[in-house]
Amino acid sequence: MTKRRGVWVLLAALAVGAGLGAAGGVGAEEIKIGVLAPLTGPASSWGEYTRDAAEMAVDEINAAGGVKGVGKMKLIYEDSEGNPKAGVTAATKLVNRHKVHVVLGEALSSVTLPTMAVTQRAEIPQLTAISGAPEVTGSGNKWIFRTQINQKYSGDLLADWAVNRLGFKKIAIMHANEPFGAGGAEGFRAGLAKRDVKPVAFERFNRDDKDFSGQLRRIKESGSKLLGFFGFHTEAAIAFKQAKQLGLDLTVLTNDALANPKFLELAGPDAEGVIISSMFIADDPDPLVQEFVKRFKARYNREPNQFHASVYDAVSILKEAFQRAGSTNNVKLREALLSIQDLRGVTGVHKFDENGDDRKPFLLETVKGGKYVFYAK
Amino acid sequence: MIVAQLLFNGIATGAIYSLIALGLVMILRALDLINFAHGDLVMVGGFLAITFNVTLGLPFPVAFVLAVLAVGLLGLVIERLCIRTIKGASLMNVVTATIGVGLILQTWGLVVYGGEAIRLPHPLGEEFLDVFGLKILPQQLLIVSVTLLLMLLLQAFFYLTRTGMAMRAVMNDRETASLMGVNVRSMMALTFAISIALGGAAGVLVAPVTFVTFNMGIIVVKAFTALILGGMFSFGGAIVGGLLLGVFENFMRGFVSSAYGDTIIFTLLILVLIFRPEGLFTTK
Repeated sequence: MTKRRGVWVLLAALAVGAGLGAAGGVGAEEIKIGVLAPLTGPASSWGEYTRDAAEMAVDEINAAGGVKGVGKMKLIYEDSEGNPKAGVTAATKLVNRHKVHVVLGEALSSVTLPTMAVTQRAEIPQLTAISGAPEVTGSGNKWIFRTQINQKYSGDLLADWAVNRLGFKKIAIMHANEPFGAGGAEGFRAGLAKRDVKPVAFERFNRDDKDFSGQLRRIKESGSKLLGFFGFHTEAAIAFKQAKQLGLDLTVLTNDALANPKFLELAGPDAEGVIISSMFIADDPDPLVQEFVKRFKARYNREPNQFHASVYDAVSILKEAFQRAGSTNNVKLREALLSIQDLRGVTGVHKFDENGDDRKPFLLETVKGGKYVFYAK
Repeated sequence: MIVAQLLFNGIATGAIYSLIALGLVMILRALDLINFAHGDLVMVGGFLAITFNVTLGLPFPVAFVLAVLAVGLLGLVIERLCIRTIKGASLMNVVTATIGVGLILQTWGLVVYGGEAIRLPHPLGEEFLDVFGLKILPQQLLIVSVTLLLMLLLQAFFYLTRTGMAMRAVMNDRETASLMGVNVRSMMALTFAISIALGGAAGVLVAPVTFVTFNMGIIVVKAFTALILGGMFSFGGAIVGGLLLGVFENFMRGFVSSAYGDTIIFTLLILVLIFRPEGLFTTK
């Protein structure tokens, strides 16, 4: 008898507690942003960029009073380890256990792709600031958004640059055999096809490869002088040195995976002259960018890179979207994200299309004297 | 020309495999043990060199010697704590313990140095030297010559010093050595330490070229392959096996396929195990 009564008391207490929690929500709700990022493991530089930029953005927003009419933002981290399996577990934890209102991340396309199914099932918007693989968007998943450039579009720009501006006809492609690298290569190949150019060599390599002599030998035999490279910094650093050793003199075009300071560190002199499509460069004279660079430097004592900028913008976009939605409701948040068509950020003017792709303009940068510098717009 | 270039690159890669394989043979002969932590100690050597050379700003030769000594010292500790204490049980337990040691070291690497590759600056610069049309990285010359030097020093140690001779005696026949008054236990510990120091040296030498990562210990699989090619128990076999594997690997990648490079190499390994389990050079 007493036992049963105890249970009833407990249930009543829970009900009251839940009611209080719900009632307290007007304007003082906590906006839970689940950050899904490679905080450890071989891709942890992106995890670090994500954390630093997201924390800075959230601190600034909360210091200014949070999202008007909704509440303050809180970041909840789960580590994807840069690995699809661990990423799905982390995403599931964010959605089921932490009940986040939105997922920010992941960085690696190979991890974003499987985690999208988790947020789609839960009908929670997911915004990635770093994943560029074409298949992330356009698959009919209504809940995925990105501030990163779809490689379909960056590939087109790079192809235009290679063929029309630099005037190369014999073009080789080399890519990492995983979604990001393959997506970049396909985007570039499609861009070339549009301009009636067929690559004379098309080579793949695996993550963690340390020898690229086979691919480079075939590229050399193809007589190509321009290489479209789509992969990550560690492999790029080794491959570019080996290319020089095998006597190749190549102009390299690539996308923003190599706009990572880690690449400059590992490749040293072999990074010079590489042309990179990018969303952001710290020496952009735009006052909004310079203001951001100054605040970032004051906080972290180093220059922000384009991944910092993209994540920072992603959080600013979320702030705007929550404000327009007026609540943390998932459906309203999604509609609010789609309604963003001319929001100024440090990586340009954001404009989401129906696939969730950000169609902001982007630029080319290059490496000169061991630093990233503006190349062309 | 590309053939000569690949041959040279193969020798430089192979020298690293030889250095690691040599240590494995010494441990195998003196302790009857396959050391699965060996590759992870290669990683420790690389990371320590980065700390000494980059963080503390010591010149490369000093950083090299300190890193190798430190790895050797770590070898003594591992031998004392994990191998000698478990040795009484069964061989399988000790082998498993070395796997455990390897995992601990990997975690250490990940926590202290992070998940990303780190580069040791090229001590002799990274401008290619032009030698008869070959483009040679100064570091490749350093890898080959230091490996050669270490092997000669080891040879001199084995044949010219009392301790070295005692170590050889232990590797050849432990019981007889013990009856002749050799302190078998300390010789085993010393062998373990020197073997591991050789691996550490390989880690430092390769660090400017393919960088250091917490999971680079997987290179030990290549050294095992070299060992099997060379016949498991012979020093000469380990050295030749390593060089041969390096050259074979470079030609495979250069002329057949890079994407399937490792697959081809391990297929070769299985074929050798089936048809010439005693190794390519052993005559029975």
